[in-house]
Amino acid sequence: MISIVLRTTIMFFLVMFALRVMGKKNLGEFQPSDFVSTMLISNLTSIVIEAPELPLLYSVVPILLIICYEIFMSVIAKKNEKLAKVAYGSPKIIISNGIINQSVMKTLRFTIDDLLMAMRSKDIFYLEEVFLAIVETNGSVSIYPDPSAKTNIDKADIPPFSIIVDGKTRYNNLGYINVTESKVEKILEKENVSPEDILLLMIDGNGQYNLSLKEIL
Amino acid sequence: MKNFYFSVILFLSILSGTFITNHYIQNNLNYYKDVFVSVVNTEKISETVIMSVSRAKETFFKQKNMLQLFVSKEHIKDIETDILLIENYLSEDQLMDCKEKSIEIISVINQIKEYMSKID
Repeated sequence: MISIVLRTTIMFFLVMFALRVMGKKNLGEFQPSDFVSTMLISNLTSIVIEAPELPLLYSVVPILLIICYEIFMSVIAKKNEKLAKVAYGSPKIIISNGIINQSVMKTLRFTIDDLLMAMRSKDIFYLEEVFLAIVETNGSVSIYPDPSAKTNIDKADIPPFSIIVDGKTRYNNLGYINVTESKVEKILEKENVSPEDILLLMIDGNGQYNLSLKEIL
Repeated sequence: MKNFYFSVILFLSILSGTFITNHYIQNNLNYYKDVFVSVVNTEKISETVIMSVSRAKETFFKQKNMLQLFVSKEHIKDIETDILLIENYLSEDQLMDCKEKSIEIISVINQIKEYMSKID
């Protein structure tokens, strides 16, 4: 029994640590400790169901222990902000005034596609429309749209598509916005950049583009 | 906060409960092990050996249900079968078979003890 208690304790904190290291986007809508608990409890439950020769306590004790840890974690996080940061992390601003914070992106191991997907899910297609985008501790992205975007951005009928992402060209997207490769090359010439230097180039149906260069981190 | 106090009590209960049950099971397993080690070491079947095995059998059957809460049912069944066989062999004066089965019980007990203590 003692070995079960110790094993559960070790596994709880190990999986918790692994999830914190793996990054927020793996969590979905859970907090790290919720996710660990849910995952471990579901596995522990199946152990005694699949192996009827094992005593029920082999699953019951670890599950109760995990519930205790889960409550301890939430109470400790409530009382101590530093520990809360260690356990759950803190929200991070990933886009501010339409500019992508690349160091945060690197820390959270977010890709451009993750960001664009989060924006699209909030009906936002232009990077300039985002005043603030915050990656929450549960891995979801909250977006506060720029209030002036409605008047400042001349939106095209066809929304912008990503043409260059992280130095790699996606010319197959050009077909959607009726733009040719030579037009893209002209933009690159005008901006005096090569595709390798570009983090994100988006072009809409009117040929308007948004260019974010890679930062040296 | 109610949940917190509940979880603290639950946590302490689990810890103390596991220590108590661990101690209880270890003591019982040591007792059975001692009995069957003495069977293995015996030169000839004596009244003392028969008595100690029969006492171990009685105690085991009394504790069986309790032990099943903490130890795999397969292990309990193995010990149960072997004890009954040993008792039978003792009555038929088959010392070598008794020793063989006693070694089996000891190895099952060692296995249980290993499962209970190892964390690696």
